[in-house]
Amino acid sequence: MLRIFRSKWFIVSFITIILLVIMGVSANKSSKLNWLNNILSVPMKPVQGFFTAAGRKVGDTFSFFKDIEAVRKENDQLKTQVAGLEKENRELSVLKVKNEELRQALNLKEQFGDYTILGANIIAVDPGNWFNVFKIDTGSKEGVKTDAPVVTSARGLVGRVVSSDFTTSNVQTIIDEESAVSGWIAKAGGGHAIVRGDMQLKEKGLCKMDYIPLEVDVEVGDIIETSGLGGGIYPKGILIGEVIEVRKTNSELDRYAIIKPAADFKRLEEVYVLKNNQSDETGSAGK
Amino acid sequence: MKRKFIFYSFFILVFFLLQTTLLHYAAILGVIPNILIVFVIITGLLRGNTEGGTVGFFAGLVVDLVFGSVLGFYALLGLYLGIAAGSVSRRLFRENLLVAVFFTFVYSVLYESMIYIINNIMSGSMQFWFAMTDIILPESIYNSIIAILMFPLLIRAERWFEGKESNARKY
Repeated sequence: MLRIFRSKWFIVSFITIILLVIMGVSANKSSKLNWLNNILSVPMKPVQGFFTAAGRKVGDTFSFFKDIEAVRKENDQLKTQVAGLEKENRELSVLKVKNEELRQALNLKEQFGDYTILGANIIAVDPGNWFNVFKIDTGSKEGVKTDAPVVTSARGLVGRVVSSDFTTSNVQTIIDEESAVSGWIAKAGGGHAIVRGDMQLKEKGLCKMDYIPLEVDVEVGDIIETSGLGGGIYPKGILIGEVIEVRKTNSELDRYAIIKPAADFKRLEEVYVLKNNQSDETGSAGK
Repeated sequence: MKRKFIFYSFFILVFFLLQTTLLHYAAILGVIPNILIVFVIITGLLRGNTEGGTVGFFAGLVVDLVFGSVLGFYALLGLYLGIAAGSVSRRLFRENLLVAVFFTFVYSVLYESMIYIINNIMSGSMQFWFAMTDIILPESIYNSIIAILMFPLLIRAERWFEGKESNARKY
């Protein structure tokens, strides 16, 4: 009898059962077990932030050298001149973008009066190729809650917070396969549709819109916003993106559109979390 | 034992940090390798199923704690991956690079297919062929290339251990 308990297969099946139970318990978002995530997330935050920042630096340096190499083919004098100008230009364009961003951040504040806007940096990305989830450096300490909407500085929808630890949060992007957002086709005679991530499109940073109502005539260039429906996660009127293609399959009912999100997921570094001021009282009372 | 614990924890954390930060700059055709599972597979091949399973379990647990939506999912898959990799180690020549590269490829395909199937079993998604040709196979090839680099490193580390252990026995 004792030998059974010692055998490897017994231990493995035992661990399997324990883990299945833990999975079941932790699938419930309000479970206390999810507090365990803090054990690693909190100490890893500065290290991940450092690695990501270093990666960006290295990437910048590489592109800088590539630029110079191209210029070297010109004559020497021109090369130095171009390098100098390029550097200056880059600094200025960074300033310009920053300027734009700050301006839009100010606009943002006016549009979403009920929300407090929290700036956050992306510090890590989901390992593996399946999901589009990333980690930001603000967490429940700053008041970030599950389901808080996340946007870019230019008011484009990025996604929502799926879980938050003490100092960090995980954000699911709208191009993630498991994401579905209720969208509004913003034009005369517009209608509701569902914007969801798609495995084949997410590589290109695009998503798919289906359940388009029959009477709505979707065209390339149409603007899609959040509708405010669907559990009220997203407030109404956040820009999701633009229709770049309408595909008709066998029947009219089956058509879907390809959306180019306003957020550029390849180049995302800073995001803004919209923290709902009102749900602080009602949300906690509801639970 | 203590040395081993520190060694494995160090490698798991370093590979995890690289995986979630810098590796995204190394994407080829939009696919990144998974160096954590390469580490688990090679550990299994070199050290047998007990160590492979243990390392796989903890590597998965780190992913669960930092990114997983359900606690224990990657830990369980990692455990099975390590045991599976460790179970072939006795039958084949262990310190053979080609064997390691081959099994890295095979187990990467199996592991990623498992993740795809488990995540899509409910949604009834019919994109398995696309997932195979555009994500699983490229990633597995990429993993095999990473294995070529990682294998000598881990063999050296293993030799270093065994040296230390036999020294310890002497005294």
